[in-house]
Amino acid sequence: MKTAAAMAIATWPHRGEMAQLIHRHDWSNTSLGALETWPPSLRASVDIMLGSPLPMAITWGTDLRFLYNDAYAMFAGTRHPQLLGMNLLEAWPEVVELNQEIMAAVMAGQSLSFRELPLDLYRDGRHQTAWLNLDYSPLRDAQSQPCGWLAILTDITSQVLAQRAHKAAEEAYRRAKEQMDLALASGAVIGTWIWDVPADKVTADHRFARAFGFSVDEVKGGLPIARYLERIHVDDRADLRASIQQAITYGTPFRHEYRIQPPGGDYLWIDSAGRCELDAHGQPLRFPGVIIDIHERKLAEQQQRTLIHELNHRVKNTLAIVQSIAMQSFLHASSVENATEVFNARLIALSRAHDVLTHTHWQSALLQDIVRQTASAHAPPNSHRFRLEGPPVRVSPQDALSFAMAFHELATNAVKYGALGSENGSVDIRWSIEALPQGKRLRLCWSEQNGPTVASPQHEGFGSRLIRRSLSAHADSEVTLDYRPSGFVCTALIALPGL
Amino acid sequence: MHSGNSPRVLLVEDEPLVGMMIEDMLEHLGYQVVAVAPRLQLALELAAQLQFDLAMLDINLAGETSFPVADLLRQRGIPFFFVSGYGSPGLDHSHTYARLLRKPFAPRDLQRMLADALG
Repeated sequence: MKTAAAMAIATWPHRGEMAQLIHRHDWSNTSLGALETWPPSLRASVDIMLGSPLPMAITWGTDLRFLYNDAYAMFAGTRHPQLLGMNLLEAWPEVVELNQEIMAAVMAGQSLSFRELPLDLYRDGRHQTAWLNLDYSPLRDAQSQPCGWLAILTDITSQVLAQRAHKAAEEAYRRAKEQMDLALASGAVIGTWIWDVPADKVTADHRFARAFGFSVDEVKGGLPIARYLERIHVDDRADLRASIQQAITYGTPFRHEYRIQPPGGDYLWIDSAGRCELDAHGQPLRFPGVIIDIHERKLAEQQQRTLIHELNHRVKNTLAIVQSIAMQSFLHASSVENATEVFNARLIALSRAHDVLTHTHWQSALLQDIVRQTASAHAPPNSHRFRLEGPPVRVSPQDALSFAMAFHELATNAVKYGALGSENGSVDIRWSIEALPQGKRLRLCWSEQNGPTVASPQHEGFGSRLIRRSLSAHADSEVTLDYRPSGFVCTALIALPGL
Repeated sequence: MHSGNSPRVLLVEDEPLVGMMIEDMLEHLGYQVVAVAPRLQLALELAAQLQFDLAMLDINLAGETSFPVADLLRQRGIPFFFVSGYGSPGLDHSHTYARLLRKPFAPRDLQRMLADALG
């Protein structure tokens, strides 16, 4: 025996760590028996295993002893070298059931293959999931009875992980594309472009092409950026060029609002956004981006600016009117109290005329509404102090204000000197459209009756002056103030435009 | 300048109350108002026919602008300035450099503008 053992050791042909470990291991206490007593089929299998560059392992005997090669040792990590010679089920406690299943199959003489088998293994000091391809072949003893297996193991963990990363990337791309399609379909984004900066070729989708008035065929091969810039509103070109220059110089996000002006078409306000990719030397490569339709928003902004401008003008004009009312009220007043009273009354008359105009959004006013305002301010309702009569006549906001101020002065004078100052006095306000040889005129007549006897004033005051001015703003208009003893009459023939 | 008399001013202003106030201010400052034109058509006729030394032009005349009057005054070589509640955006490009008196204004502002315009 001694000589046979020495012979076996002397003829052990293998190099490598596992060859040495298997050679030196004390197998005498196992079902395999001492190395030199191993049956030829086991020796042959171990020879094949030790000679293979693929990770391989053998389980043999009734006590399921475990052997493996150098390549497998790398796979086993920190479990190596304790693993060698252990009972298979004790060696891999985390996969006992799987190994029992395999044993049952190979003991029945069947080979077994697993593909992409995920195994939770404790290796290198931690739990890791490994994906393996495993191929088991039964090994037979001298009596041709299955008594173990030879396994070839392929660790495909890195391929599986790479595949998963690829799948995740594809999923992310699909989701991004879905979002992009949604954005495009929502109408907010109306086109996309990619500018190959070194080749100066802008390729774009059909929406982008259409916005610029190009056909799909024209943009298919890519157009130089200059061809697009030609179709930018001339007032917006310089700013856009500067913005593009900054984006391709510094790689900063590009964002710019401008107008596209396709030949023979109306301009379109768009917002464009993108980013130029630079190479390692800071040279521009690709410049992709999108354009967004902001036409409606821009027009609304412009309208708002116009409105604010218009409002500012109206406020300034109103302040000038108030200034005039103040100066006239205070300069010609007999006392501060009197001035304050007159000023307030005029201011309220102006304010009421504004109310009438606000109802029509400052488009125009009906003459009867202006007249009614004056009447209700100077007499209680249904008091029969005023008789109003005339057809519907529309007047401009400016005329509405002028007429309101004139009526206010007429009414104030009537209270002070005329029919509204006596108990039974009344005022008729009548208007009509008259066709005269020189054109249509608005005839407006204010006549007082049942008041005190009227005398002509010594000189014309502010009120009379304002009445004349307010009613004769239009060329070819006439105003007559008639101080009849039976009652004051003011007649105006007004060349209102659009009668 | 009209020798021996107060300078004569054509006032173009569509707002009766404002027109009256400016008229009073001008007379108080020693100017003579030859006419007040509240609308463009009348302003053009008066600017072509009347003799005067200076014109004050409200820019917005019931929806029209007084720029045609300004063009006519330039041809006649009569100095003028604009009056408006608008800031300079109310002036079009050809009149950007014209004088502008902003409403509302104090008599002192008016006096300075008149002196500037008459040189």
